[in-house]
Amino acid sequence: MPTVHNVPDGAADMLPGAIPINPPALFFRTSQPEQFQQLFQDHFYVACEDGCTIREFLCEQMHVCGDYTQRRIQTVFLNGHPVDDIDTAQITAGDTVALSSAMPGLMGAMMRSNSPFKQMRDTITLQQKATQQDSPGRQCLVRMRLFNFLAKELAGLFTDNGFYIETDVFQHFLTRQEPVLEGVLLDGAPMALPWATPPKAPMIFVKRTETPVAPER
Amino acid sequence: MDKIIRIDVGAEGGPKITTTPVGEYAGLGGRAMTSCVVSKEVPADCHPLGPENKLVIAPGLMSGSAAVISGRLSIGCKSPLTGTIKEANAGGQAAQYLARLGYAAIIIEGQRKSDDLYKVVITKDAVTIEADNSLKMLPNYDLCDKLKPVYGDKVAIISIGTAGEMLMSNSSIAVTDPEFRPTRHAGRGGVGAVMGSKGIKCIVVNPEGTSLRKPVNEEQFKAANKAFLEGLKRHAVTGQGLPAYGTNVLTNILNEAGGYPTYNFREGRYKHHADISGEAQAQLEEKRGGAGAATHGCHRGCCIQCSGTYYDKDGNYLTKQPEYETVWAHGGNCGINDLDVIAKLDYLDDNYGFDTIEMGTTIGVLMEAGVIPFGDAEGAIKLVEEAGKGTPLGRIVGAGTATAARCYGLEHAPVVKGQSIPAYDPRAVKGVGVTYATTTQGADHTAGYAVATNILGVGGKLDPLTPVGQAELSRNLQIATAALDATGFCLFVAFAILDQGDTFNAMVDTINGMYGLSMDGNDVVELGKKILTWERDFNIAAGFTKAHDRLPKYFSREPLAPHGVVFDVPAEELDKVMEF
Repeated sequence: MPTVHNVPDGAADMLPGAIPINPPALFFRTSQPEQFQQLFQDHFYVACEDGCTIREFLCEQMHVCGDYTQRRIQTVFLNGHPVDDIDTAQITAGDTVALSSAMPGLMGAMMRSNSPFKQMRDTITLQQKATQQDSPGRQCLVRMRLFNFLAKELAGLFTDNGFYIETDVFQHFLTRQEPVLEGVLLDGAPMALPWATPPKAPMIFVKRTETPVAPER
Repeated sequence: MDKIIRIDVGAEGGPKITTTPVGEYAGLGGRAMTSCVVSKEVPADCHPLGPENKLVIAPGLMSGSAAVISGRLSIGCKSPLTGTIKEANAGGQAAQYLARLGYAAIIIEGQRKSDDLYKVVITKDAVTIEADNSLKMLPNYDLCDKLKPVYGDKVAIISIGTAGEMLMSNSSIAVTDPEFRPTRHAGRGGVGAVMGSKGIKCIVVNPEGTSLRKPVNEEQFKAANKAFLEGLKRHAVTGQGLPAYGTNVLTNILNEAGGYPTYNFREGRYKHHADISGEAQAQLEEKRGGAGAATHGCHRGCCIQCSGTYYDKDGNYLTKQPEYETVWAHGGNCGINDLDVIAKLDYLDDNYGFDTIEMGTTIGVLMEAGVIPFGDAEGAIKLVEEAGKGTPLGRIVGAGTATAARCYGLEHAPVVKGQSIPAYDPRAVKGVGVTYATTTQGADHTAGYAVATNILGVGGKLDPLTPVGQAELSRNLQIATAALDATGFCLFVAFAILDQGDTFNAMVDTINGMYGLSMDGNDVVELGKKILTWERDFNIAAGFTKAHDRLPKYFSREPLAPHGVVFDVPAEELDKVMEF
C-alpha cells in the first residue's frame, strides 16, 4: 500500500480523500478478475497523487497508457463533469473519476471527450478547476467508476494494484455476486468468504496476489 | 414497392380495400411516406380519432432488400397525444415483408360504421378484411397465441392491444419480432388509438412466395452493402457496445453526468443506478441463459443485435430485453431498482399496448401525486394492469403523463406538446432540451439523433474546436434524422456513420445501388428538410406556434442536482431551430 498521511483508522468517511491507516487487508487469488466488474461500475477507491492530471493518474500511477487510453477510454468524467482534455483536468483528494468506452445514442456521442456535440452539454462540461491542494504530491484517495468494457478489461489491473472499498459495500458485493476467490487471507489469516462476521473497520483494502501469501504491507 | 393499399373502413357495405399504384408518392419510404401522406391528405384541424384522420403504415425505402439493418416500419397520423403530426417507428418483421410484397404503404381511412373489430390479411395474392369480434380486448401476446395456429409463425402481425381498442392517448402499435412475439412497438404519440378508432385490430402480413427485392444496380449494391456491414462491425459502438450491453448501457453514463431524471425529474442521479444498469442487466441475462439472452436482433437482417431476451429466475420467457428508456422510465424515474420488476412492467406495456416511456413518466407523476409512493413496485404493476383493463383510474393512467398531472393538479408534468420527455434531463444536457422543445413530434429523443452532421455538412461542417449554437446543432440533427427515418435503416447506424466517413458513403451507395440513383450527402439533407417542412406546415395549420416550442417552465426555474443547473437556452434561440 502507498505511504499515507495521518488519518485515524476509520475516519475516511469524515475526511473525503484521506487514505485510511492500516485498514483490514484482504488478499486472494483468482483467474477471473472480471468478476469485480459489477463492483467497479458502482465505485471503489484507489490511491492517487494529489493534484495530478487525469492522464498522469491513469498512465503513471495506474499504468493505463497510450493507445488504450486513446482508443478505448472515450468518455471521462471528473465529479460528474464530462472532461474534454485529460491533460489539463486535475484530480484532487476526494474526487470521483469515471471512465467509459464509446457509448451509443446522441447522449453517448455527446458525452465523449471532444465530441462534435460537446456544446450540447456545455452546462456540465468540466471547466478549468481551481486547485487548492493542501499538500500537492501527497497520496490521497480517489473514487473510481469503471463502466461497460472498461470494468471488464481493467479489472485485472485494478485488482492487482489493490483498491479500497467500504466494508458494507464489499459485503453486499460478496453476497450478491458470489465471486470465486481462492487463498483468501484477511490480515494474513486464512478465511472463507462470504465472511460470517465482517471486519468492523469502515473500509478495507482488497488486492489480488499471485500467491496465497500476504504481501508486505 | 410500387403499390399502396387503401382501406376505407367507412365504405358502404363494409370496409373496402383498394390497391393503387404508388403514384405521386413514388420514391418515398418510411417517415417521408407517412408525413407526406398525412400532410397532404389529413386536414390538420381534424380530431385525431375522427373520420378525417388517417393511419399510414410504411416500410423504409430499403426494407425488403438485402441491405443490412433495414427493417424499420414507420407509422404516421395526427397524434391523439400531441395533436401534432406523428411518426412512430418500430423494428420487427413487418417492414421487410410488406416491402417484399411490393407495398410502399397501407393507408387506413374513413369512419367505422359499426362496433365490429376487423382483421386484415395481406398475402402475395390478395388483401382481405373480415370482422373477427373474437379478438376484442385481447392483449397483444394473447392475440398472437390465437393467430399462430391459423397463420403459423412465419407471418408478421401488426396489432393493437387493449389500450388501442380503448382509444387511449398512450397506446402503441405492436409488430412481431422473428420469434413471433409482439415485442416491437411504434410506441409514441398514441398511434394505437388511431388504429383502434378505425376498428382494425390487426394486420397479418404473409410473405410466402416472395423474395428479396432486387437492386437496380446489383453490383454497386452488393459492394456498398458489404462495406456498410463492415463499417458497422468495425465501429466500437455498433460492433461491440450495443451487442454486448444493449442501449441500457447508457444508465451509468447519464447517471454519472447528473442527467438521469430520477423521482419524476426531481434529481439527476439515482443512488441504485448500478442495480439496473446495462452492465448488471447483461450479467443477469448471461447468468440465466436461454436463447438470445443478452444479444438478439429485433428483425432478421440486423447486424447490430442490440436487443436481448429477458428470462425470469426460473428460465421462463418474461419479455424482450428492456431498452434504456424503459429501464429508466419504470426504474430510476419511479425509484424502482429491481430489473425483474422492470421487465414485468415492460411485458405488461407490450401486452396491453402502451408506450413504455409515456407509461413510466405517468406512473412517476402519480407517485409524486401520492397515488402510490416512489419505489412501490407492486403499485406500479397494478397501475399498468388497471390501465390495460380500463378501470376509472386506469383510464387516467392510459391518457398519458400530461393528463394524469392535470387530474392530480401537478405542475410537474415533464412533457412537451403533451408527450413525455424521455430519459435525458434537459437541464443537464440542454442540447437535447432544444430538440425536445422544437421537434415536430413532441418531446422525442430520437427526433434529433447523432447522425453524421459533420459528414453531411448540414448548415456547414462542424469544427469540434469552434462553439456552435444549440439551435444549429439541433437543426442539423433533426434534418439528418428525418432523412434516415425515411430509409428503413435503424437509427443506430448513426454511430458508425458519424465517425466513419467511408461507412456513411457506403450507406448512401447502398441506396444508390438499390434505386439506380446517384445521390450524395446534399440530397440526403434536402430530403430531411422536405420531411421537416411537411411536418412543420401541418403543425402550424393545426394551430401550433413558436409558443409551443418550449419546455415546461419549471425546467428553467428548478435547479437539478447534483450540478444545480437549469434549462437556460433563450426562447430566441429555440425559435431559430426551424429556420432553414
